[in-house]
Amino acid sequence: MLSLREQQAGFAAALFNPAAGRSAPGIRADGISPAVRLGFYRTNVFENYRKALAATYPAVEKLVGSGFFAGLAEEYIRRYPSHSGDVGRHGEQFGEFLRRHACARELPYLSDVARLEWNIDESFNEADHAPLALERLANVPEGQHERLRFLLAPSCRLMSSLFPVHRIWQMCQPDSDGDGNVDLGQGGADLLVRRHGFHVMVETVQPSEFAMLVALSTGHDFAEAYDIAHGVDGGFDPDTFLQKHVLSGVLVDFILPADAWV
Amino acid sequence: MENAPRRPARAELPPRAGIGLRAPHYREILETRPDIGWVEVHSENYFGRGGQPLHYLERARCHYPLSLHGVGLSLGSADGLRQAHLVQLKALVERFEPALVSDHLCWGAIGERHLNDLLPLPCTEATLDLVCVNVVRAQEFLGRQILVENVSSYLQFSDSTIPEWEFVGEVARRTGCGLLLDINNIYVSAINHGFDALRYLDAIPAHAVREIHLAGFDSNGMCLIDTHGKPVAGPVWNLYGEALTRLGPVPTLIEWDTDLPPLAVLLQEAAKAQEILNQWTLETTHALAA
Repeated sequence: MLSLREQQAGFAAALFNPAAGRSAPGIRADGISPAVRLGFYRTNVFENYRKALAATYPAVEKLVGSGFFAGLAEEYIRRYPSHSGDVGRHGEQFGEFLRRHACARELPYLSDVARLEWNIDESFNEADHAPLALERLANVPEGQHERLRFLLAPSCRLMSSLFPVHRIWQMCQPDSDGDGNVDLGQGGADLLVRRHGFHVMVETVQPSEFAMLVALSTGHDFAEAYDIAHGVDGGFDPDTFLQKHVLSGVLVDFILPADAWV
Repeated sequence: MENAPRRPARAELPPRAGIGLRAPHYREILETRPDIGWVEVHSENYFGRGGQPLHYLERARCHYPLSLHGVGLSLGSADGLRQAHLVQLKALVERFEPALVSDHLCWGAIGERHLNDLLPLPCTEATLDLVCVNVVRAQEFLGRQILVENVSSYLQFSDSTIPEWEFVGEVARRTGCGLLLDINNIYVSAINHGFDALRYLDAIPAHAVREIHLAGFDSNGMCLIDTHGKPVAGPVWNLYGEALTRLGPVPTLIEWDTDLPPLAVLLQEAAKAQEILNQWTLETTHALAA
């Protein structure tokens, strides 16, 4: 007799590999063949995952149509096992899957649309954070601002694309009033995804601004980050940057070494 | 969020009808505050760190007692419970202090892979031992009793030796867990496997049942499938009445997850359950008076 562990491993394998003709061991027929009974579960499992993917990736589904999307979902479900008891996490690799998929030859921007939608989904569920109190910034000793290490709000996500992926995404929104055309020749985009209240916003930012945000989010202090942004655009203005992103709730906290306060 | 109204401390669920709180109904429920006994949510939908879902759950919790119902604990996994999942669940339980915490008598993960579904278990002594160990561990980790729910099934295992109704009761007896009796699941499995649903009800230890689920099913032509996408079926209402004569009034949830209808439809279903609960309460009152 099979152990429960062997039985469950066999069940899982058979669920995802019907083509190999595998049937889970130990299932009673009772008038319906074990393979057909297993198929009932396969239908449910694949439907759960497909619905979860469609909920996270509505723009991708709109771009390729629901029939083609269902095919992509099925392939993804077979090749990318879920690693969480929360079905909403299963789609994490969908953008990567699309990047490697044959359809990327015709729709090279599709994987970036998926990455954007994943970022939106993550931002939606991220932790809340109070804005930075301006008096804290005002209390930083003269000459020490360069050493500040800023923290971005937890809901912020940064991504860049070679395509105008925000325009494509916008076009797919239910409230879009565009004509359904996006000029791919208009070039790429640097995007800041963040949540304001419960509303997730997708904003384009200047390349230097993007470089500054990436640098800050990866632990550089303000002076180091400024050097990087300045390298991208000699006209980059750090004061405008700071004002904009503190007031809008992107930069929500900072740390400063103890010796800076004396 | 910070200035949300104070919410009441943990309390028992009243023996009334409740509904599942689903995202499309958040605003309407909070604005209209329908007269329902309590609400239930899927725990995993609130595993995020912030934002709208937790905010609305916090607000709903101020007005209604809450039952946290999980689908991902995988109490029947041969390789045990997933620690990361337990940690997330515990954080949610500590934050919201729900009246009840429940999950299913099934498995849904093996090795690194989650299947994110409620998969059936062979009813054997070995499975019983394993499930009991997992239930006890979950209760110890969470520091409280959990309820375990019977699932619908579309197949049976040839090595099963214990009838499901005995298996379910035995888990409660051995672990001290409560039972969440899903009447629709009993009906679906009874039709699919040809057993007597009343015999199932008769075998359930009444004192252990702390919540009831009612939902709608579909048929694929060969099997009834538990889809939670339709009104509760007539025979399931009948079986619910039978359950109450054995159990007394028990908090009862209308579960509706796919093809979610307008809130009004959900409330009508809940009112129907409430009417049956009321009848039962009246009958006992009369019986006691006589």
